[in-house]
Formats: sequence, structure tokens, C-alpha cells
Amino acid sequence: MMKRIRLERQRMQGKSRVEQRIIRSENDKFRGYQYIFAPKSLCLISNPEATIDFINQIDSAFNQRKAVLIKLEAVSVIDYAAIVVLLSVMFRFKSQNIAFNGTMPIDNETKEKLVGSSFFKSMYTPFKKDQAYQIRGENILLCGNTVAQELGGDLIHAAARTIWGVPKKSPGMQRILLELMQNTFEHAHDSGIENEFWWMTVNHDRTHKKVSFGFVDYGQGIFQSLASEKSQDHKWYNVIGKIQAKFGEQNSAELLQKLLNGDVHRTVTGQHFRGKGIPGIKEVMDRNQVSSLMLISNDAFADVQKEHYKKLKSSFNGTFVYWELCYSNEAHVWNL
Amino acid sequence: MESVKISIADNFSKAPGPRFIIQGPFSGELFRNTILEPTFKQHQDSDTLIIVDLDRTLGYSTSFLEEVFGGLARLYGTEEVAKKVSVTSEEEPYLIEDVTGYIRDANTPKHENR
Repeated sequence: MMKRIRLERQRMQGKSRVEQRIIRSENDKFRGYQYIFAPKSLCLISNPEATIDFINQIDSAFNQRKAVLIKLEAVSVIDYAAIVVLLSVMFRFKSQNIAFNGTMPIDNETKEKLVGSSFFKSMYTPFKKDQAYQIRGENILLCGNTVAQELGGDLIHAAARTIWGVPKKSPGMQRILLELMQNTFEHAHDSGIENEFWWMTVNHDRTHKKVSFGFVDYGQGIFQSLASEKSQDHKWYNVIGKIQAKFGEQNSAELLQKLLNGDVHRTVTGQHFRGKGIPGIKEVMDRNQVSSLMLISNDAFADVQKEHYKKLKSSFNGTFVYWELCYSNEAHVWNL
Repeated sequence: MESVKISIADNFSKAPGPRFIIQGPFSGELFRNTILEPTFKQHQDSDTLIIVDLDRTLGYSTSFLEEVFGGLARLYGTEEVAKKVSVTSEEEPYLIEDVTGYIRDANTPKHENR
């Protein structure tokens, strides 16, 4: 009896009265699950701190192999970035056979957006190893575990129809996709991880003639990767130490800005001809081949178009990149 | 001066891939090993210029191009490759300067500050 009371108190610790009432009224089948409450604005781009906190709680439960119940009732606004990050995290639970479940948002528009994004379909459709990537629904959620160079053709062809009404190609966007997929592969390879997935969301806005893209590589992030142990011939060997020697103490937002501008690879990489991928992504935006480029990696947030770099209070365990293709961006005749 | 032309789109792939063979299909390493390097060796002792046409593909990662051209320069020397190999691109003319830089920087000593 005393043990039950003590466990109940532990379960309620830190929870508001409303949350405590919800937990108590929950069905017994979720007894033993860790309840994790989503913020009202589950938006990685406009509300990164709270969204990352929420994701980190789920991640922490994963690391402890705890079953989780994701509480989305209070969510009144959600962006596709958060949806795809949530999906990438939940997929890890599934791959490790750790129990999880969730509740739906009460807000109808939010609920429809979540269902319409194919979140649930994506969650429960197995990934076939012989496929470079899978398209899992309308707004589209994709995943893959290799550098799927032909993916860009499909995405850009469809995006061009939304934006310009005719097929076009976008070498700039193809560059971004290749760099990001390659980074996922490299960091997985460096960490000895066999099946590391990247995830993408694609959202067609036919009214404003633009298509937005979000890419998630969940698991480490740029700065965790840079700080990790490496062999002396690795391109990023002791790069944090070299940066500090060259530029002085840098926070991650300042460092991200330098990475994007190519200042880091020019001065500190052991293999000076490597590490051009991240600056290459910024060049794509500089050439007006894409718009609204944003990055979140660990505790660094970058709105590259607005040249706004911020150190976040919470650290995201991965890298998220967002960009848009719109009418004013440069694209070429489809001549493939 | 005689020249021999290689089109990546026609002779290799319309969707070039990553840097290394291990990373995925149609890599820069594969293109260099199977197409560019054999052509380079074939014409190394002649005045023939090798022109690589970058057009009509989906696009390139920086690492693909660096591995092709920078990689060739690391094998045969910057000067040798710079005088023998050139690229053309009407769709992405900035790539010409990028590739020139990859060849130039390919053999810069480690840790040299720029």
C-alpha cells in the first residue's frame, strides 16, 4: 500500500493538477507508461525550445527503455518539422520493441494535420531494406538509409509542377539533398551504426506556389559529432580544439555560422579538401536556388536567410534542416 | 588543340551521387576510377585536352565534384591535372570556378591556413 502511494507520488511529481487528473483517469492499460505532455505549440521552427524539450523527454525515456504515452491533447498548433522529428524518434521505439502509444490533439485542425501527414501510416509501415527510400503519404513523409541520389528528381519534378506549373530541375536543391543524406551516412558510419535513417517532410502550398522541405537526421547533431573521438586522419579530428585556438571560445550558434560561411573548413580541417558540404548548402541559398533556409543542430538555431543565429537553452539530439522552393527561386528546364 | 569530351549525363549518370563508392551509387570515386582517370592516362602524354561537361544532370554535391577533380589531382599532381582537364557548364557556370578551386587545393599541405 505504502509502496503504491510512493509510486503514485513519483508519477505525479512535477505535473500540474490538470495533468494529474488526466493521468488518473487514464485507462489501466497504460499503467507503467511514462506520460509525456506535448506543448500547445508543437512547432520546431517557431517554438524550438519547448518542442525540443518535449522531444528530449521522449528520447530520455527511450534511453531508459521506458514505455511512453505521448499526450497530444493540448496541442493546438503543429508544424511538419515537429511531426517528422516526432516520427523519427518514435520509429526508434518501434525498432527496439519498446512500447509506446499516444493520444490525439483535441483541436480538430491539428488532428487533421497530423492524420493527413501520414504520421500513423509511416509509423506502422515497415521499411524494406532493398529500397533506397520510401514515400509514405500525401504530404509526404519519406525515409531512407542511404544516399538516394535519384530522390531529388522525383521531389523536384513534383515541386516544380506546384510552383511553376511545368517540370523543372533545381541543381541547388539536389545539392542540399545529397549533402544531407551523405552527412547522415557519414555520421552513422563514424558511429558504427548500421541502419541510420534520415526523414523528410514535403509540403505543397498551392496557394502561395511554394513547397517546403524538412530533413531530419536524428541521433547526434553536428556539434556532438564534432566533439566525439576521431582518428587523426579524420577530416574533423580535434576540430573543436583547433577552432578555439583560431577563433577563441565559440558557442554553438557562432560556430554554426562559421561552418555555414566556410570559415571552419578553410582553416581547421585536417583534410582541407573535405567539409565543404555545410557551406555548400548555404551557397545554394545565396544563389537564390532555395529560400528560407533554417538549421537546428544540438543547441544551435540558424535562420540563415535572416542571418539570425541563436544558442538554444535545450539541445536537439540531431540535425534538422528546413528550406523552401518558391516561384522566385532559380530553376532550370527539365532536360533529363 | 585536340580535345576529348566526357559528358557526365551521357557517359555516367543523370543523377550523380555521393563522394565515395561505399556511400552509394554513381559516386565521384566511381566516375573518376572508371571514366575520368582511364581517359586521363590515355592522353597524359599528348596535347589532348579533356573537357568534362557538367550539364544535363539533376545536380551535384560538392563532395562528388571534389572527389572527381580534386581526387585526380591528388593522384597525378595539381599542375598536371590543371593543364589537362577542364569543365564546362552553361547551367551552373559557378561550378567551373569551384572545380578549379578543388584542383588547386587538392594538394595543399594539411593545416595550412588560408
